[in-house]
Amino acid sequence: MKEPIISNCEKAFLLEAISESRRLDGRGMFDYRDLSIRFGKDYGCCEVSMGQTRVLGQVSCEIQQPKATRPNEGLLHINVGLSPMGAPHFETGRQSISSIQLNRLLEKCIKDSKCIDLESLCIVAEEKVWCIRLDLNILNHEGNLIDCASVAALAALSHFRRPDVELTSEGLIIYEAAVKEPIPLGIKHTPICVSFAIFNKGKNIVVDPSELEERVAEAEFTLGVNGYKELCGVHLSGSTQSGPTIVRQCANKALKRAVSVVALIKETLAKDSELRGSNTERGFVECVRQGTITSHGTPKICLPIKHKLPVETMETNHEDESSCDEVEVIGSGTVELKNSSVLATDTAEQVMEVEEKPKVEEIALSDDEDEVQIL
Amino acid sequence: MNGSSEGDVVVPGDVVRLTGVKGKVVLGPGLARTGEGVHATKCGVLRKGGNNIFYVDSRQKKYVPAKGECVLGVVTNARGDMFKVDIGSSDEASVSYLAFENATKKNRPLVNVGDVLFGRLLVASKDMEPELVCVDSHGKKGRLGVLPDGGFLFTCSLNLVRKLLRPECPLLEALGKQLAFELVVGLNGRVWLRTGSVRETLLVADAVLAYQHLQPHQVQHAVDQLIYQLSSS
Repeated sequence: MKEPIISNCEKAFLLEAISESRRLDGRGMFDYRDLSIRFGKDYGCCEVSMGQTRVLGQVSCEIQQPKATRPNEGLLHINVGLSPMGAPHFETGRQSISSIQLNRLLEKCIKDSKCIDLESLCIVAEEKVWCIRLDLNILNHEGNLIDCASVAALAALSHFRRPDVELTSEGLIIYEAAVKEPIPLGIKHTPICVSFAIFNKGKNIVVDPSELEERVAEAEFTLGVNGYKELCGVHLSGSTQSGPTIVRQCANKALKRAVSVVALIKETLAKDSELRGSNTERGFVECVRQGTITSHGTPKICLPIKHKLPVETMETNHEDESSCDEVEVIGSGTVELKNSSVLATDTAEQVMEVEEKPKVEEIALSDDEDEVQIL
Repeated sequence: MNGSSEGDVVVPGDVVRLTGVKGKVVLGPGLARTGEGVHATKCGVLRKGGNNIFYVDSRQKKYVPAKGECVLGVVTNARGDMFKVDIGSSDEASVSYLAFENATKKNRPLVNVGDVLFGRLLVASKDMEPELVCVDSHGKKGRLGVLPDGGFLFTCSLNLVRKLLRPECPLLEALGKQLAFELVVGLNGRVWLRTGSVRETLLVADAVLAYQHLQPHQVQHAVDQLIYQLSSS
């Protein structure tokens, strides 16, 4: 299936909106979508979602003969799988341009920057080394695949543990996880990718582009940055008029982003190891068991706009409603009714609604505050 | 075995009993006749319209073309005798260059790739490519044709589209009293919108999408809030 065409009016509208510093989903120009990382039951399995974009990462290992040119180094393979599940226009089987580009970018960012200590993966020089294979499956494509995939790659690699081995006179013994504690990979630094979409001849830059933004943008600028604020990869696709100021501006944003993302990965890893230590249930299965099959997903509106209309209740924060009783939100989850002497039956019902769903009200309130800021 | 009747939730394969119905019955979307009985082919609520029309009110996003429906499409190929239009169905629709108002062999309509087209489905068969026309049977375009520049196209669920197209839609009525906007709703789950500014377009689009989950009595309040947001900026 061909990639669906974007109509001229969508393109023109997006460009106009971007030049007015508005984005279709209500984000600011430098706002990222929500990033969440979840680890599976096995070591080296993780799922990362950035907004609606979702990537599943899985690391596996096997023992192989090393390359003749590097006899004392382990191997690292990165493989990005684009399937029609991610987007209907992705094809299985043959490699498309986008999958090669994704693969190469990740290799540049992770492999070429020597993020993994490959020498520690050597068992017998020239004979046996560990071959680490990183598979990334795109579960859903809603823009900015590279950022999501790079976070998934790093999280999966940091989570992975290989079995312990021992060389004896009889041969090589590979210990099961139950016998000897598996060993994590040696990770020297933590590179992730941060992408920027550039519009209107370099005048407007947005971070974390959505799919439509990606396709309309003149150029996409991807920076590989690690948690120590070091640059480990630069890629510019498309063409635009850019100068050193743009590069520097993007680099500064990317550095800040990398620090926060790496902190999030570490935090999630720590939580996961705590769960593993306490022997409680963990993994993706838990999300399904929590009640709904969509526990993993985020609610989707086709054109999600930040300043959403409060759907459930619309009682508070309204000055123009003189006839209504005033409802005051005191703190999280508590709602108090003021001036309740003239309570009509219908308002009472509405207030009951507010009390039942205080969370919704809160979201609506905070959204309003955001709105004031961005306008 | 008890069959489902009007107002029931049905799932594919459910037997539907059309009890208490006299005369000719029309099976709408989501229902199929198998031998003697009628079965549901979609998940949803079984409903009855006027003239003994039965259908399943389902929430789906995938558009299946049906004859006579007005849809919004994006032109993907504007060369040759038949233009290709993406209407969101499994197959691209085609539209003849003569199916526009005042089009003749010498006077080709001006259609470019990427234009948004509002057309009516002339042929919609599961074995054939759907075909659109942009004129009525008198050769007049009415509201059909290529939509002008300056709008915005977005997609929504088919359920929301039907909700918007009801004869008395409280949202559009309430919005129309406060704001000037043009809205074209295609039954294939696409909405084209044009207002005076980007901000207004985004807010109206937001309101239209939020309408999916709004109760009729909440609409006026939501619109008031929207106008308040618009005026306060």
